[in-house]
Amino acid sequence: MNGAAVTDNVRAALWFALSFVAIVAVWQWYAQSGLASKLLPAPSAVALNFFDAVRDPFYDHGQNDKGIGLHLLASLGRVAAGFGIAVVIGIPLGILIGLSPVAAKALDPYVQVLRPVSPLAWLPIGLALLKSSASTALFVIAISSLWPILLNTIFGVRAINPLYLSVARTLGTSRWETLRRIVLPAAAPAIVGGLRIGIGIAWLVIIAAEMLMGGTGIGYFVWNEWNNLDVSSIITAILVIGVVGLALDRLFGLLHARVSFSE
Amino acid sequence: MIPRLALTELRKSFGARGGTTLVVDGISLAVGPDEFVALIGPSGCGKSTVLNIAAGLVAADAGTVAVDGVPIAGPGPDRGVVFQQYALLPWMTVFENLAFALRSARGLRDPAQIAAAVDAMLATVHLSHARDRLPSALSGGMKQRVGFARALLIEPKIVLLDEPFGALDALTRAHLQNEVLALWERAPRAALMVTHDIDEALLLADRVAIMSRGPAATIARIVEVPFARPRRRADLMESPAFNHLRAELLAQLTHETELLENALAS
Repeated sequence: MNGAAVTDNVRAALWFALSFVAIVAVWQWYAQSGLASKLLPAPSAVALNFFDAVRDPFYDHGQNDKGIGLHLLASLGRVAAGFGIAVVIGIPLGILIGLSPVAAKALDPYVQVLRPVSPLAWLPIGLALLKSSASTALFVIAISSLWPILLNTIFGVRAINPLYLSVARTLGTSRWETLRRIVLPAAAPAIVGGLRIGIGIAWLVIIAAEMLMGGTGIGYFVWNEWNNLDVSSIITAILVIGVVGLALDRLFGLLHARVSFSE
Repeated sequence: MIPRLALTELRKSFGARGGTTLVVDGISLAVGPDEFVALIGPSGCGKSTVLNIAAGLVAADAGTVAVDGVPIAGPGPDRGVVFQQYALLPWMTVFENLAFALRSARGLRDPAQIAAAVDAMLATVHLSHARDRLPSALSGGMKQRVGFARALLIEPKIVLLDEPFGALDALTRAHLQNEVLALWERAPRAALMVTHDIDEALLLADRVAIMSRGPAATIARIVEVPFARPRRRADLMESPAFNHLRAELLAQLTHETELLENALAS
């Protein structure tokens, strides 16, 4: 069985390498064929741009010429702050709704109506509410990543094995201790699942928000390079965005494994 | 003498859409200090409902539950519960499960004092080697030992046992029954055990209460178990008195079960 798995992995890696080479070859041919716009760079040019960007990511030559690393840090900082706000609101509110049927019914209309709204529709509301573009970006991140955190927390709390709560009741466990030692750990896998979806949404949304808000950030970087007609830099940014998104997802995957339990 | 646990005229209906079913109808039962009482009855007769009412997890429609003569409302650590499905908290190790119980039930805060009490109890139930394991790494028998340890550790006035051996395989069950028997004979304490196993009831209990068929179950009969302690399973199995009593209870239980099945069929 182990042997079969190894063979499968080797074959998958082989297929990946082959398809990657094929895609790059087709791209190289297409870029040189004259069929595409002159703006489309050849893969070789993108590779040069990428290594250039990664070699010195933190230079700062004024407003419109900063290294990609600085933009990345600005975006990550915003995501951390906006996502943090969503966590601080989403988890306690989710636990409250999960434990109280009355709260669930009272808040359900808000959740149902606001949840499907596109993140970008919140931008003007954010600007109207907060007046500054910096806080609006945080607002949009927070309100977009709030829903999966809230809904997963509600689900996790509702799905707690009632036996665990019976144990707490027969032991005379205080409300606070029941919350901290039973409700939270029992719902933790579902909550972290919500965090994982939420951070993914936050990372999606920050790029779009920064393209519109301007200033700093990887989204602004993409927009700025488009104004410079530098598509190589945009493709470099896309690769960086993808890798960072993957890393964030893996981070929460690890956290999920830590809080999971089997009965 | 005031009984340790007194159930008086308990009545409970469960409501479904379009009607309610009277599950238990006027159950009265007393457990004395240091007395082990088994409550047996056909499956589905409502014996677990009685235990849950005694534990305070289910509210009775009528009747009272009193511990040492004081009526109780709701669950509390004066009654230690052993659950059929163990009910260990899976994110805590064995030690943490027991320490959590001590902190909750007895308000202990001193870590050294908690550790000493938990470790002593683990030694009593032969689980010292599993101290730092998660419940998922334990066999069913080991899990239920932790269940017993938790119920005893909080030093309740009475232990309530809800088919505590019901989820175990036959060999593990017999082994754990022997250990529980020894534990109780070393340090007798009040217990109310729900079971459908006559042998188990006769092995462990001082008195056996037989529930009538549900719905609207009552106590059909209470039997004193006359066998001297300390008891040994092998000796009991060979004794004619044991086999006579066992046959008598089995006949009654079969009768109640038939009545129950007829009632359900009609």
